[in-house]
Amino acid sequence: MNAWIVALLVSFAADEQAARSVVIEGPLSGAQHLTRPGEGSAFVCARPGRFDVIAWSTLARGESSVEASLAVDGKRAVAWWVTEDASGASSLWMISDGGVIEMWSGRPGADAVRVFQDAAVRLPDGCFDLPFARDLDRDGAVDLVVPHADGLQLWMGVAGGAEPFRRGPLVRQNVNVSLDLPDRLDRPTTVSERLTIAGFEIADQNGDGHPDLAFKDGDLVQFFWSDRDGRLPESPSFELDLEQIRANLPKESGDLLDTSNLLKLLESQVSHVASDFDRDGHTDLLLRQGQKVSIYRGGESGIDREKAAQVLKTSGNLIAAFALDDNGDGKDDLCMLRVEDVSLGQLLLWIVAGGSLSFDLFAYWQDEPLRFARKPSAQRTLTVDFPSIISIAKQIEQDRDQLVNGFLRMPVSGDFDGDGIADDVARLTTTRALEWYQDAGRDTAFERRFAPWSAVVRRFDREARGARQMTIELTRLIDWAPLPGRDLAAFIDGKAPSRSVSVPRAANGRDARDDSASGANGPGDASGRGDSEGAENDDDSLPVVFVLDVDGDRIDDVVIAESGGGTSLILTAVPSRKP
Amino acid sequence: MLVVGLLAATLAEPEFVESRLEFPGRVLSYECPDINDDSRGDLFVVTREDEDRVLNYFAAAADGSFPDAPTWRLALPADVVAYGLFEARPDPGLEILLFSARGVYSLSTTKAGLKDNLVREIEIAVFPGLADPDMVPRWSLAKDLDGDGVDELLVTTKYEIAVHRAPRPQDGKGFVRIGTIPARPDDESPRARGRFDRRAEIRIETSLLDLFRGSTSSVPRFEQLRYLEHSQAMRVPALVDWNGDGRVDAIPKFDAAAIEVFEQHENLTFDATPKKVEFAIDESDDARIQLLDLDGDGRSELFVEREDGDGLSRDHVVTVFARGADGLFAKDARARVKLNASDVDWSVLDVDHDGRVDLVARVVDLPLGITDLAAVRLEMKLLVFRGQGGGELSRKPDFAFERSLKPEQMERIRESFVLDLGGDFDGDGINDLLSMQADGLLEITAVERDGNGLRLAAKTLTRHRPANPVRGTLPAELSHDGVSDLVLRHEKALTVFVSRGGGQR
Repeated sequence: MNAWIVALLVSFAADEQAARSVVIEGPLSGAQHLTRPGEGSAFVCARPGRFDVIAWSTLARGESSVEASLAVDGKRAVAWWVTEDASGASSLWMISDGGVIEMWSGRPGADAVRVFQDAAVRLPDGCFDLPFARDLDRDGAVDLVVPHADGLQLWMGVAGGAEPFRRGPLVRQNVNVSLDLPDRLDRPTTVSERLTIAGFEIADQNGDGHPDLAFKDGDLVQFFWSDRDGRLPESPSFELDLEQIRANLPKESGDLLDTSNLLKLLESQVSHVASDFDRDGHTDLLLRQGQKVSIYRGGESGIDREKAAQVLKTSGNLIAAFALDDNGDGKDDLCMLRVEDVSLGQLLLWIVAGGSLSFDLFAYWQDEPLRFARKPSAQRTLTVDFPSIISIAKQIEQDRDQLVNGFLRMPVSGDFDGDGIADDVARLTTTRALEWYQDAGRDTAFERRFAPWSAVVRRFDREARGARQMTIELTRLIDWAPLPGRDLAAFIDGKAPSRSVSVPRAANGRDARDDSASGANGPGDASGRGDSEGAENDDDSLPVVFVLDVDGDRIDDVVIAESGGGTSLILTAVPSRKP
Repeated sequence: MLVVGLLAATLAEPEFVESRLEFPGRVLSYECPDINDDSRGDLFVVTREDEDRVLNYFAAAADGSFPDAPTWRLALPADVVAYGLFEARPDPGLEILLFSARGVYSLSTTKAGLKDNLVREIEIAVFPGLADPDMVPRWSLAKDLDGDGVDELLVTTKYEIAVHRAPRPQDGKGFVRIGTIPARPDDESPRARGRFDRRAEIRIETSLLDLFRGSTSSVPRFEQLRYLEHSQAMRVPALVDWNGDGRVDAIPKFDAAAIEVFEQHENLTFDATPKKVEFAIDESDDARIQLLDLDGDGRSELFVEREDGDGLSRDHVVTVFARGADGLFAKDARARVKLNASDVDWSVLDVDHDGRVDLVARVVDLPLGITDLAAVRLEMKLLVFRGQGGGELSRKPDFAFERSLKPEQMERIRESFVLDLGGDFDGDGINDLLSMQADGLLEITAVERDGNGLRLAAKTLTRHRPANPVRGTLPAELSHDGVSDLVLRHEKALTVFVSRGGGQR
């Protein structure tokens, strides 16, 4: 029998952070956090045939009891999501067979309430989470985004209306089906299908204070901009057909390779960035078409594609065109990243003997609203030196664990000190110390939205210390990879944590009440532990750190999820406290 | 347009009829079955035209040519997951099978369109049930399981692999379900979790990120909250005659240490639990293992591929273990071939038509120690080790074809690597080597006997310069005259050469 084991470490004492473990049998197909103002937080687990609600506080006492349960056995498909209403209370929403949409409060004895039905909903079989119920327009009513055969259907929640939802737009969105059928039967093989539907963007793009939506279906980008009342239109405010734009570029044969410059393929690239470059409250459009970069002005009703505000042409191999505030004047500047030519011969030589490759970043400052300098205002050059790729491959194999850790063990940000600002950082070290860095980002606002190019440029400026050219080894390029969380790592690098607590690894199937809490400790206290007892040296599974408010005190807490071996799971929650 | 051409004649080789088939969209796949039962291979081509996935059938004419326009054409309905070709009706020839979530349908190419043509043969919830709008894969799950000489059709659902037999005269209409193949859901697919049938074995190691989705976490996410990602998988066991009784057995799992087999008794009845047969082959865990009947005796040998070492200079090793009298694989290898190169692609093929398959190695090597751009090159080789019977292989290559490519010669990057030993183009009973020069010239070089071995002929058998870049080659038997025919695939066209006899057979 499959079993998931959930172990939990929680301390609700105001002045203590400690460890507790509990075992819960599975299996689970997912879990989501439930906020319940005044009732204490919980999490909902999807199990075969039912959903269970388990209060974090119950688990902390080692009881691991199910507080409420909802049976969904016998249904072909159940897609579910937890969403908050205007009061901050969350509930479980489900779509099941026939497009029936139900909502369950998660309270003991409560039944699911049928909310709506959209018979055109198309769902794959099984039980899976699906972010279909969210307040998209921030009007306090939950809206629905449900999959139809021909796109995503939006239903906008109507608070207090006769009908709970009014029909919104049906939008095309990137749907990908991948099939695997065996072509021979003389060895064990697999038949499989995989369905993915990309997420979509929710942000105020036209400066009216109301959220707007952007969907991408392959090369078709659709923007839905809300009106002054926050109402989203039923058809796109405007569209961008990147495929059509690409078709107008000079065509390169897919059968012939330019061996003198493999990067010539970049000339057929088309991409876009929609952002408010001049900070006038309206989203503008940066459109890259091969070697040409055009800026289009955005207004209340959309973006005027008839006439570009400015067009810049570049030579060389343009990797990317993007916008960031390079000179710190509060307006975005236009940046173009180019790389030198790479011949096939060079590439082969690099493999056996190594070499170097230079990247140039040109910044064109925005002198007037949407008027960028015609010549580069600033240039940075990054040269990457590398030994033979063979030796790099060997090095990567040797350093695999360290590299995986570097990629997957990022710090997290949140409001861990209860000051109402999510400028604190927490990190779980390889020696299983959970470290907090209070107000680590107070002087440098954390970006809510990850901007990879911006992260790379900041990294360059930090390391180059004013120089415009620098050279790094290829192995260090991995450190430069723009990852969400890497900026946080830079903020806390070299600093002593405000406090730390040891997180002992719970043994599978038993309570690990090894309290090893420390108060306001220095870095040598918990993080300095190098003993094998606390180190993760016997498990392939890296722990994942989540930021959740598990005790309902409106201060972010830390939950650590990791495999307990086999099919078991260990969940560790460590509450924060006011310093 | 039919073009009758003679490829450059350097030997007394046969004539070929050349046909060029143009399509308004990309060629996704093609094959050469005899659909209309006239003893000539036809062409069945799947294309992508605008938003449609299109099946095209071209019937071969008596002279070996093909018509410009398809003999039969069908834009597939959106819910079709896969297609197959199967003898589904008593009429002569093959029918087209269409697989969708609602069942298996048959179509005849003797009628146009779907109306009065489409017949639901099997009402079953086919898995996979989602159609890929950009492609339509071939359903290859068909095999003679009970040894009666007729293929059965295997249909996967989420919970079983059902076996169906095409109707016989006494059956009336419709396929007949005759059994199931023992199988189990894929227990290694993390997204297989969450199914309600409780049979799925679920692993969670890679699904930790799916907990508390939407919350901030320590693992980087490069995109906003994705809307849906949903995967399901069903394992299909190997279907081979393990015990040599003429019936196919089901092998859900095998590695170097053991094999699990559901032996088939009569009428597709299998053991309830698999028999585990252990053996002690000294191979690493990451070795790729296949069961292949190399010597044509009806019993499979264990064919093991592995790589030793790191980087671009690795040892690529094939080891063959033969079965002893007890049915188990002997611990000592019957054959072993080791090549040191950057990459080796192994395949097996009966090159000399002696009933024993031979080992073909396609080798790509990037010589190390070079520091001068002018000296950089890629080396390609094709080596053949003939099967000697009893699972043994030649100790040294019977022949080798070698080529060195400088970077500037790889403008036609796909064609530069074309090396095909699949066709006998002079009809002498030994397959010949098809290769392409760096400038796109196609060459066929005869392979001939050399005492007990083989060798490449000194002269090229024939040359041809295709009008368009070649994306694939398929030696095929269309005219069934003992001389192989050839299909060249271009992006939106096929060029077909059909022999008109005259070979050395």
